[in-house]
Parts: sequence; structure tokens; C-alpha cells
Amino acid sequence: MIFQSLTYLSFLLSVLAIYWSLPRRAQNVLLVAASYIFYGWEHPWYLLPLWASTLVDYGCGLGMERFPARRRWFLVASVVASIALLGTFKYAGFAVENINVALTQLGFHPISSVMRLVLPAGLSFYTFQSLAYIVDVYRGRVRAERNLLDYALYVCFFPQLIAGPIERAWHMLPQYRSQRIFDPAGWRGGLTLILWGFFKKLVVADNVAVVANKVFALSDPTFPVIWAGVLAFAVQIYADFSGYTDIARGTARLLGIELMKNFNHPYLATSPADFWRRWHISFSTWLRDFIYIPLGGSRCGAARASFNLMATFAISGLWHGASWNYVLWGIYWGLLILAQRFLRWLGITRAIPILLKIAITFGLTSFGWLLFRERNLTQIIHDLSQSPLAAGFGQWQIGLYLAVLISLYASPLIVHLIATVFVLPRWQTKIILPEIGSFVLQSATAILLFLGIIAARSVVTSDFIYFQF
Amino acid sequence: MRISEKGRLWLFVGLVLIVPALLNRLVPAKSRFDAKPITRLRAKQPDLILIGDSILASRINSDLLEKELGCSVAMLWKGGAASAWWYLAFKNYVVAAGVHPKAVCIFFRDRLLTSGTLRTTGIFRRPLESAMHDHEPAVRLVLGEDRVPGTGLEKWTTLLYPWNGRRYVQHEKLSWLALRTVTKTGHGARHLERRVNDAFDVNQLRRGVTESTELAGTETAPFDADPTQNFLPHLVEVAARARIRLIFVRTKRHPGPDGRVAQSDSLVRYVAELRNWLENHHCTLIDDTENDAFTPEMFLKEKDDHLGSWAKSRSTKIYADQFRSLLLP
Repeated sequence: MIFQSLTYLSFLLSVLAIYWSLPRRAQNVLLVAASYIFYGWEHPWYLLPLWASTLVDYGCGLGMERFPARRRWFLVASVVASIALLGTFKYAGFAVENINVALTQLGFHPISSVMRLVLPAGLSFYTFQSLAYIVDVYRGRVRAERNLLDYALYVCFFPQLIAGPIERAWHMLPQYRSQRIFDPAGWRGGLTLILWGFFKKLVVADNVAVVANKVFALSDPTFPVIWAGVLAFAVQIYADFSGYTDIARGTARLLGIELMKNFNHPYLATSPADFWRRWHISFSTWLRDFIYIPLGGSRCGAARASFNLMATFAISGLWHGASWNYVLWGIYWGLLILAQRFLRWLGITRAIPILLKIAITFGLTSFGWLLFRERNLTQIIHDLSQSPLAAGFGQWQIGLYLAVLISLYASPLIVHLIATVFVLPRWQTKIILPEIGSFVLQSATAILLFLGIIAARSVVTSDFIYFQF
Repeated sequence: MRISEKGRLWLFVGLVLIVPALLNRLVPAKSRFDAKPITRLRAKQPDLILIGDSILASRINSDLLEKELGCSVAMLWKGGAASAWWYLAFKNYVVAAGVHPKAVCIFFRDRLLTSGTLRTTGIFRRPLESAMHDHEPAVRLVLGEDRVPGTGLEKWTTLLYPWNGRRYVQHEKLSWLALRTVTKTGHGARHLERRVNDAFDVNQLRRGVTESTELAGTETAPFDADPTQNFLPHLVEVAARARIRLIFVRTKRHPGPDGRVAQSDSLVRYVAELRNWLENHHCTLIDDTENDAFTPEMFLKEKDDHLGSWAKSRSTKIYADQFRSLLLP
């Protein structure tokens, strides 16, 4: 089921209407049932890997507590099961393709081909969420959940099932166990957040996607055109993904559940490391807690710390998709952060003005998006070999036109950024709006967002980018 | 008066839904009718009028065709146009201009003549509205109504909020603003717009990126001249009333290396039934699918039905030969 459909609207309204008339336990039953309907709506078989993951990790969690001496075995079993699930659906075809290439190069016969399976939407997200639970139980950070229903809800909660945020058990399970209170003011905030999410997706992301898709469909784009396309994709992927998160968080709020913040103005980052503290926060903290730190983090020798960092980012790239361009993208980010550490060690970064730092980080991030967007390594090389001097005045004018058009579509994001980062925090300390004032402000914002969606939504809609991961 | 939190929530939801609906009533229902083609047709008084989409434009050079046939030729085409626009262009331009051509040729591919709702929404809506009057019974019949295209949520949203159906207006305005920002002048903006269109032309795209995918959905539909489903019967009826001869030209799609176009049994059946129906209604069908004169190297690129610019003269001459005998008194 996709968010931007009449089916989802009817589904959500029905769930909300029933949900708030039920006691807590029945609310959870409803949410689990609704989540399964939501997830299996178009492809009922998607539910099979979801159920398998839920049952295995629920069982392993309980097993760890009942048989403490064999905790490690349960951990290994759960991790192997999760990797097997991901491997089967996401990486098997890719692995066999690469093995075949290697064998052919070495003069051997390729092994029989493996069919590429359809990747169930959200598999990478809920698998990582389940892994987080099992590792936290192993480390004793959370108690194993005894109630299968609550655990199933932790894995399948529909607002965040397809594209996160990748939540933690210690944040979600207590919410599922406690009584939820209908809060009309929270609802207003939730509805405004949903509208803002839809605005980002339908007005900003889908409109700039038209530019990005056109540029990345060209066989021989010139320098200014390709970089205008990269700018379009940088705006698209942020508006698309953070838009999804806002819709998820807003919807959860209508159900009395609070989801974590997944973005914190990532394009205001002043360094590569800072970018990852602001971008897809639930994923970057997952990588930090479950890959980077267990590998030894930075509390070891420089060589080992560098290896840990590169390995973490290579996994991050591979998590996004079974393709070499994602691995390259991950390695690129690992190298950037290594370079940043080196420059900081040399004491160079302190001298750079903050605005320049933001501009440099945005430029480096955008370069990374080129690696992310172009699936074909030959095309990446082609794009990077374009010289700015080879493009004529006409091509520069086209590139500039595209950049202005992208900026116009992205202007609501800029206004929001200025308002939330620079203006509102200052106002809040000086002016305290009366209750009616904040109601009027919130209503006006919501009306503007709704009008914007009606009047400027793209005529071409597409799935959320992160659905494919 | 103090309103409870719940009351405020209802007021909030009401305001968000109602205020935009009220503001939406201030918007004109459709784009202005573009009467320029009528003026051009009246000035030219053509003997032959060709109607179609970019496939037509890639096949015929009207100046050369005029020379070959020795008569005046007018072309009415829109990139991405389909049967709804062809019907409106014929009724509201050709017939409304009061010209008396010897024939009007409509160029189409496979089942497009009976795909009534194809290319009537989104970016295709504005050209459609420009050729449409306020009261269009046939459009109302085929599309369900004359101003509310789409289905499901889209349709309901447009009924409540007419801006939803006219989103292309905002996109055009933003695009124009960007063009003006870069070029500073209106003339320069139009020039740049043409260059942007050229830069993203189909022949600049990577292999495998084709525009014909949207035709795939209709691949098994049987022939049906239902006036509530497609514009073909309306088109023929208007032509009969205006005593204008209609010639339908089924263009050859991109052939395989042997020069043949693979056709499913259902498509062959469909075309036979279409031919039968057209002949019963005193129209002519020219089917170029089996025409060996259109060779694979004339096509722009793989899987693309457009001809390359290098093949336009040759293609025009092929059509001139076909039309010559048909236009004899």
C-alpha cells in the first residue's frame, strides 16, 4: 500500500477510528493486524519473510534469557538467519553475477545462474531493526520481550515498516506496553507533520525528480547539465526520504506513538562526519553501535581505526543495494571521513569559516550522490570526465536554468530551514505566542502546505526512493 | 469563548480542508481556447490536412509534400497527442475553420485510435484544454466529464480542489520564471526553452530509455467503436456531417533487423476489424506496418517509432506516392 493513495487514506481513517475506541491490548492487536494488511496488500507473500524474521528473533531473544550460558549461540543463530534472509533476496543474484564474471576472466565455466528474486519492500529496514533488538538483548540493554504481539508490533509497525526510521527496542517496546492517551494538540502537530512530509515528497522531490531523471537519461550530458542533475538528485533524495520520515512520524503521532527524528538539516553539515550525524540518523547510529564500535571503533591504532571506518561505510553502501556503485559510494564516504580526521590532526579545519565548511561539505555530499545515482560505472567515469571548459555558453545556460528551476522547487525547504534553525529559536525566547496565536500559526501553515500540495504537486509521481532498499 | 482541545482539532481539520476548497473556486476551469490554428487554416485553405503526434512530425516535411503533390498541405500535430486531441483538433480547428480539404489524414499507431483516455491528464491536459471549448459533450462522455480527468483519489481531489487538475499551470510558471531569470528577456527565454527541449530530445537519450512503454498497457484490447469509450465514432460522425473525407494512416512501428514488425494475433485481428469498421463508415485505412519502403535504418534508434531526420525526405516521398492516387478527383 502506498501512502499517496485513496486506499491508504481509507485504511488510515478506519484504523484511527477503531484504534481510539479500543483498550491498550486490543489497540496492539489492531496495529499488528493493520500493519500486516498494509504490508501484504499488493504482495501477500511479503509477509512470509516478515513473519520468519519476527518469529526467529522473538525466539532467540527468549532463548538468550532462558539459557544465559548459550546466549552467544542464540545471537549467532539470529544474525545468521537475518543475513540469510537479506542474502537470499538482496545479494544472491549480485554475488553469483560477480562470481561468474571472475570465473569467466580466469577461464573457467560460470556457475549456473541464480534468478534475481523480487526484494520485499522494507526488508533491509526491519531486518536491521530486528538485529538491533537481538544485540541489545544479548548486551543486556533491554529485556527479551515475552509478549509475541508486542514484539511483532515492534517489527511491523506500519508507519515505519517500509523505510524506517530503524527504531530501537528500548525506545519502542515501552511505548507499546503503556497506555496511549488521545492528545488533540499532538494530533494537530501530527497532521501538520504529515502534510509537510507529503509536501516534501509530492511538491519538492517529485518535481525535481523530473529534472534528475531527464539528466540521468541523457547519453552524453555536458558538465553543467550533469551537475545540475546531481543538484536535482541531492534535493530529491533529501525531500523524498525525509518526507517519508515526516509522514511516518506524523502518522505514528496520531496513534500516540513517538518515532525518533531521522534527519537534522543534513545539508547544513560542516564536515563529512557531521553529515552522518544529521542524515538518516537511525541508520548511522545503528552502524556506529552494531558495526563500528564492535569492530573496535577509533579506540585502537590508526590503521585499525581506519579499517573499521572503511568497513563500516562499505557495509553502509552495500546495505543500500546490491550494486558496485553503492559500495563505491560507501567507500567514498569512508575516505572523506578519514581525510577529515587527517586535516583535523593537521589543524587545518579550524581555520575554515563555517559557511565555507557547509559549502564544501555540500559539494562533497553532492559528488557522492553522483556515485549513488549512476548505477553504471562506465557512465560514472563518463560523467566525471566531462570538462567544464568543453561546454559551450548554451550548455551553461541550460545548466543554470535547471539549477534555478531546482532552487525554485527547493525554496520551501530553504524557508523551512531558515525558520526552524535561525528565526524560530530566537523568537521563542523573546516572544511567547498566546495559545490562540500558535493555533492560528499552525492552521495557516497547514493550509499553505495543503494548498501547495493541491496546486504544485508533480504531475508525475514516483515511489519513495528508499522503498527499493 | 473558550474552545476545548478537541474542538480546536476539529476546527483545524475543517479549516485545512475548507479554506483551500474556497480559494480554489477563484480559478478558471480550463485554459483559454487557442484559436490561432483556425486563423492559419483559413489563410492557407489547404487541400490536405495531416493530424497526429511527433511520429507524424518525424515522417513528413510539409513543404516537400506540397511540392510532390502539387497542392497545399497543413499539419496539425502536438508531441504526445493522442486520440482526444486529434478529435478536438479536427472538430474545433478543421471543421470550425470552414475549410474544404480533399482529405484529412490522421496518423496513429496500433490501438491509439480507440484508447480514448490515453494522454488526457497531467502534462497532456493543457494542449487538450487549448483545443477544447467549455461545452464538449463527446469529451464529457469519453472521459467521464469534460473537466475532471483521472480516477480515484485524483478525481475526487480535482472535484473538490480544481487547482489539482491544473497543476501544470504552476509548473509552467516556475519554468518560465527560471528561464527569465537566466536570460533576462522574454525573447531569450523562448530561445532557451527551445534549446532545453532540443537538449532533452529523444535522440539524446541513453539506449533503452524509450517513450513507447505507455502503449504496452493496451496490447490485448479488442477493437471496439463504443462512443462512450473512445473518440473514433465521434470523429467519423463529425467528418460525415462536414462532408470531409478521412484517411487513417497506421504508421509502421520500429521493425526488427529483417524489416518486419512483430504483431500479436490479437493486434492483427484488431486491425482487420478496424479496417472493416472504417470502410463501412466511408473512411480509408492505410496500413504501413507491412510497407517494406520503411526500412530499419530510417528509424531514429532501437525500439523508437520516430524516424531519424535523415529519413524525413524519403518518408515524405513514400507518403506522397500513397496520397497521390487517393487524392485524385
